[in-house]
Parts: sequence; C-alpha cells; structure tokens
Amino acid sequence: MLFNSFVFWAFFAVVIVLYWRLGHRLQNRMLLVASYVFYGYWDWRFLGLIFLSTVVDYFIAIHLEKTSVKRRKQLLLGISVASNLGMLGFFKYYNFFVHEMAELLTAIGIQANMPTLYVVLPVGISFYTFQTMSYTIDVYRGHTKPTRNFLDLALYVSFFPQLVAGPIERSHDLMPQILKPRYYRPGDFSEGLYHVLFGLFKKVVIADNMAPIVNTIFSTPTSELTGTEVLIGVYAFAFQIYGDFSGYSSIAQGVAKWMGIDLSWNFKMPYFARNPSDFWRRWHISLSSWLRDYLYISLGGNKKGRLFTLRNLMLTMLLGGLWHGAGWLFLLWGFWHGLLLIVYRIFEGEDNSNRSSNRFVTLFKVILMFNLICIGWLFFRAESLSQAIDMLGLLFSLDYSFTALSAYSFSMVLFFVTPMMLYEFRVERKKDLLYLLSASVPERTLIYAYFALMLVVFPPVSPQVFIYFQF
Amino acid sequence: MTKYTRKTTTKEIYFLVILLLLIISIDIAFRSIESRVSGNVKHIQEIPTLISTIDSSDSLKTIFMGNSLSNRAIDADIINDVSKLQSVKVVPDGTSLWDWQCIIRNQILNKNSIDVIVIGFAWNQLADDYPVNASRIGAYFCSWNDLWGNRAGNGLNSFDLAGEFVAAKVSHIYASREVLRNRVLSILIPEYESQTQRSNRLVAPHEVVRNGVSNGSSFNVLSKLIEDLKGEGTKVIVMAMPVRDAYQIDENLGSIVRVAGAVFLDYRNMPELDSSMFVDNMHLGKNGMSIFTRELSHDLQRLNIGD
Repeated sequence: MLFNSFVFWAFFAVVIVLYWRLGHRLQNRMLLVASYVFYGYWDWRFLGLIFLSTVVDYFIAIHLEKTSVKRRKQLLLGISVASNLGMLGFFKYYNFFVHEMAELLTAIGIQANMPTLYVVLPVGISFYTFQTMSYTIDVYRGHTKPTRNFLDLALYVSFFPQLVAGPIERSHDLMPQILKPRYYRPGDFSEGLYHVLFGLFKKVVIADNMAPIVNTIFSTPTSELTGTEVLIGVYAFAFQIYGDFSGYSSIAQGVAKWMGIDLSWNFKMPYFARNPSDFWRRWHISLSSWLRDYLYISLGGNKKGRLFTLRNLMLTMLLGGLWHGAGWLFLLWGFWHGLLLIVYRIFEGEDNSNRSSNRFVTLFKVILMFNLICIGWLFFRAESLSQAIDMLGLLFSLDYSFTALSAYSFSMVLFFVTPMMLYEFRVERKKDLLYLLSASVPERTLIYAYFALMLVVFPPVSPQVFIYFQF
Repeated sequence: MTKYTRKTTTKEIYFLVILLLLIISIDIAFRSIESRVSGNVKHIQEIPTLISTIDSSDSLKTIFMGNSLSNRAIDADIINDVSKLQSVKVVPDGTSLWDWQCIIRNQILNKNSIDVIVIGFAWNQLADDYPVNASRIGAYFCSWNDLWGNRAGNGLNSFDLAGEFVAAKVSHIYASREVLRNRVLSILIPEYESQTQRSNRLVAPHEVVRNGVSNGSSFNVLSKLIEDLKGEGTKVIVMAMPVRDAYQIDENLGSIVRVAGAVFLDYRNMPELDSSMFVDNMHLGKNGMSIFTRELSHDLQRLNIGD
C-alpha cells in the first residue's frame, strides 16, 4: 500500500473517519488493527515478526522495571537486543555472510558447502526493529516507563504511517502521545496538508522523474558513458533518493498530524549542509540520532580522547552503512561518510557547524559538501564495486563532453529540481520549516497550486516503489 | 514557529477555498481548449455527432471502430463509394476493447441503431487481461454507472484503477497528463523523445513487450459485447489489422468470435502490403491505406454488406 497510490488514500479515508468518531481507547485499538492491515497488505506472512518483536520487548521492559540488579538488567537487555538483531540479522544479512564466508574459504583452498536460503526481506524490518530496540534501551536507561498495556506497545511498534520507512520514533516521543487522549488541534489540518502535499510532490514529481534518468545511466555500460553523464546521473540520484525518502517521511508526518500525532522531522534541507556533521543533523535525522544515542555514545562518544572519538565516528558510520543492507557498497558508503566526518573534525575541530558568516565561503562549503555527498551516493547506487570504481574514474577523467544523453538528463534535472531547491533555499533562509503556513495567501496559493499541478501533470510514466522500503 | 488562533483558522479556510477555486478554474479552462491541444481529444469529442449523423441515414449504417491502426488503414470515403455504405470511423488513439466497449454501451446500444460494427484490433487488444487505461475510459468513454455498476466488467479490477478512473473523470488535466507532459517536455527538453525511447528500451524492456500474446487468454468481455450487439440487430465483424512485422494472436480468438456470432477477418499477412507501405512499424501510409480499404470493401461485399 504505497502512499502514492489510490488504495492507500481510500484506506486512510476510512481510518480517519472512524478515528475521530472513537474515544481514546478505541482509537488506539482501531489504529492497531489498521496498522496490521496496512502491513499485511504488503505481506501478511511477516506480521508474525512484528508481533513476536512486540511480545519479547513487552515482557522484557516490564521485567527491566521490576528488577534493580544490574547484571539481571543487562541480561534482559541483552536478550532483547539479541532477539531483535537476531531477526534483523537473519532476514537481512544471513545470505550475505554465508556467501562471503564461502568465498573466503574457497580463496584459501577449502571447499565449503554453506547452506544458502531464499530469504525474503520483510518490508521495513530495519525501521521497526530499531524503534522497538529504542523502547527497551530507554526503559533500561530509565528514560521511559514500560507500558502495562500490551496493545498500546503493539501500536507503538506498528503505527502505520511510519512503520515501513520511518521516521524511527523514540519511545519518549511517541509513546506518551499514544497513551494520552488526542484532540483535534487548530493548525493540524494545515500542517498535515503541507506535509502530505510537499511529500507527494517530492516523491512523485522529483524522485520518480529522476528514476528513469538514473536507471538509464546506471544500466549503460561504463565504457559507453562520459564524465558528464556520470556526474549528471549521480546528481539525479542524489535528488531521487532525497525526494523519495524525505517525501515518504513527510507524508508519514502529515498523515500522523491529521490524527493529532507529531512525528519527528526526518529531513531538514540536507543539501544545504556545510559539513558532514551538519549533513547528518539534516539527513535521516531519526536514524542518525538513533545511532548517536545508542551506538556512538555507548561506544564512549567523544569522552575518551581524540583517537577514540575518531574510531567511534568510523564504527558508527560503518554500522550505519550496514543498516541499509548487506553489501560491500553500503559498507563503503558508510566508510566514506565516516572518513568525511573524521577529516572535517581534524581540520575544522569539533564545533564545525555554520561558523562562517561570509556568503561566498558558505556557498563554497555547501557546493563542496554536496559534491562530497554525491561521491557517497555513487557507492550507494552502483550495481557493483567495479561499476562504482569505473564511474569514479570517469568523474575524474575530465571527459566532460556534452552528449545528447547528458543534455537531456541535465535539462530534466533542471526542470524538475530547480523549483524545489529554490523553495528549500527560501525555507533555509527563513529558518522556519513551516514558514509557508504563515506566508501571504497569494504566495501560499501559488506554491501549493504549483505542487498540485505538477503532481497532476508530471507523475512518472511508470510509478516507482519507495527506495527505502528495501531497508 | 507558526502560532494558531481563530484568525488563522479563518485564513486557512479562505486559503483552501482560493486554492480549490484556482485548480478548478485551471481544469475548466483546460477543458475548453483541450480539443485544440490534442487532435485525438477533438476526435473523441466528435464521436457522438459522428454516430448520430449516420443514424439518420437510409443506407447501411456502419461504424469502423478501432485505434490509430484502423484510422491509418481505412478510408471511409472509398468504402462509402465502393460499397455504398454510410460509414464513419470511431478510432481514438491507443484504445482497446475496454474503450470500445464503453463507447458502444454508452453511445450506441439502446440509443442509436447501427447495422454493422467493424472492430479493428491487433495483438491481444481484445483479451480480458489487456491493460485498461483507466484515465482515458474515465475521462472520455465510460460513465459513473460503469464504475459503480460493473467495475470488473470494465477492467477496473483494482482499487488503484478505480481511483484513477475517478480522478480522470473529475480532472481532465489529470486525464490528459501524458499528452501535456509530452508537449511541455518536448519543447523544453532537448532530445526528449529519442532519449525517453532509449530509456524505455534500456530500463523497461518488459514494457515494450506488453503487446505480446500468450495463448489461453479469456475473451468474455468481447463475447458479451458481441451478444448484446447481436441482440439489437447489429452485425459485428472483428478484424485483425496489418502491421509491418507479423504478430501472433490467441489461437482460439477466431473460433471464440465465430461462436459468439460475429465474423472474423484476418489481415495480418496481406501479401499486397510490403514494408515500404508503412510509415512506421505499425501504421499504413496512403498507398497502403488505399490497398487495405479496397480489400476490406471486397470482403464486406462478399459478406453481403453494402453493394
């Protein structure tokens, strides 16, 4: 049930009508049923996984609160983390590790018959696993009280707007909203409408129109490409993945808002970042803050000296890369971002955010950062390591001739992306993510009409599935 | 951050009304000019007049129904001269049985008395599993009753198709999005057409073979349509149209059509038509049209249709 499909909106129309007619308890029960229906529509076979994850963490959280013995607490947390990561590891990484192990053993002369399985990846497993884990870790740390009501926890784990592609909500943000009665707040409708409309625009108009360009360039043999084509292909992918993922998050935020629930901002104009730390404060914020709070800080953060800090940064980013999928290219992408964080920290120091007041220096930093991010996207999108290396070679080959494909692709990127980036630049300047809601009626009408008309006239020829569902 | 008060709620309603009015106005304005934007839409809008024109004729009233294949293959004037028929072509671009069915049910059956309907098709355009263009049938050919009354019978067998149908019925800008998109982008984007085709070939080769035929398709919609037309005294002829490269049709189609009570004509391999008579890989040029039309006229006479 894609957010950009009619069936989702028909489903949501039924949900929202029922929702505002019910009292708080029944609202939660109905939302739980709706969430399971939403997920079951993808693949009902994996509903058992969500349920199992919920059951395990429900009981562990309750026992965590009851016990004051540190070792017992650690054991309980270990069981929770192991069961969640075990499920994630099996479905996401089993075949990868078996394959790589077999390759390694063969390389050293041992013939290994490793058992491979046809494992289907459950949609959104990385998202809800991390969300569930954050609950038990927060209970362990004493940041959250465990809920005694199993059904409320089940709703926290499976809340449908953010179930399959985030934002990964934290228990201290989402759980209180589930437990307390929700009332219609003035402003929720307009905020929700803004999120939904802008989100659909980013997904349908930006991401899905960039997809054919990206797919064409990445499925053309590298020997037939020029540096210009690769550069435009990577730029197009940067906007495709941004439109796709931030569009999903935005729609999720809007849909939840219409039900009186605030989800966190997952993206804040990431391509205006000036350095890697700034980028990670703007891109997939719910994952980067999760990794910061539960991994980076657990590793010691920046408390154990400079060298340890750099090691922790690299480990965090490597695991962040691996979170996206079992593959060397994701690991390489994580490594690249780890390297960027380390290099910037060495040269700019810890407080490297937004110090420059010179407009040209800022512009230079933003452009440089965008291009560095794009090198990362090349690893992320490439079909193979050899393709990534060949394409990287082309980027630095200075073969920047303008071909028919590059003229077409460049014009398409300009046509679709420029208005969005100009709008985001305005939002960035205003320092208010919702500035448009308080803008004058003509300005707001024009921008909304543009979003709406582009959605109607320029949907892609063939709709694309959300990229992040595979994670 | 934005602060909300009663005043902002009023402003919000004011804004939404203006936005809605603006979008409705744009759609209305587009409806008034869409026949100028697209020759195909102009033809679609003329269909009721075309049908009612022949309905008032004393000669044998014949409709040639199909898509651009029939449009570029049949010269109605030659047919009318040779066979002394009163015939018109109802041949909107890209259409298939789903579209033709709605035209026949909404504009012919129980409304106009037509003696002969000749349906020209290629590949699997008559099969029940041929993809329906929900936008086109919603905006131009089908009625709301076709959605509520017989959704599956009109190919709208998923919620998304039904949604697309409704959206196109409400907004003609949405229904014409492909035409508008291609018009705008072919002006603004260099090499738009050739690069889009290249992209389609590279990225979605499976899309290109959507016309491929697998035996064993069902043709229930076609059979029912033929029966209903027969019930009104209309003779139905189904003909497989020629294209440049030979194609396959379901091996059972001919017998299914005959069992339903219609005539089946197969023009897929006309020796008189060589590849030079096609302007592209599908459509006949002037010469080819003339040759095909004369062949068709003779066959119609053989079937005692016309003089």
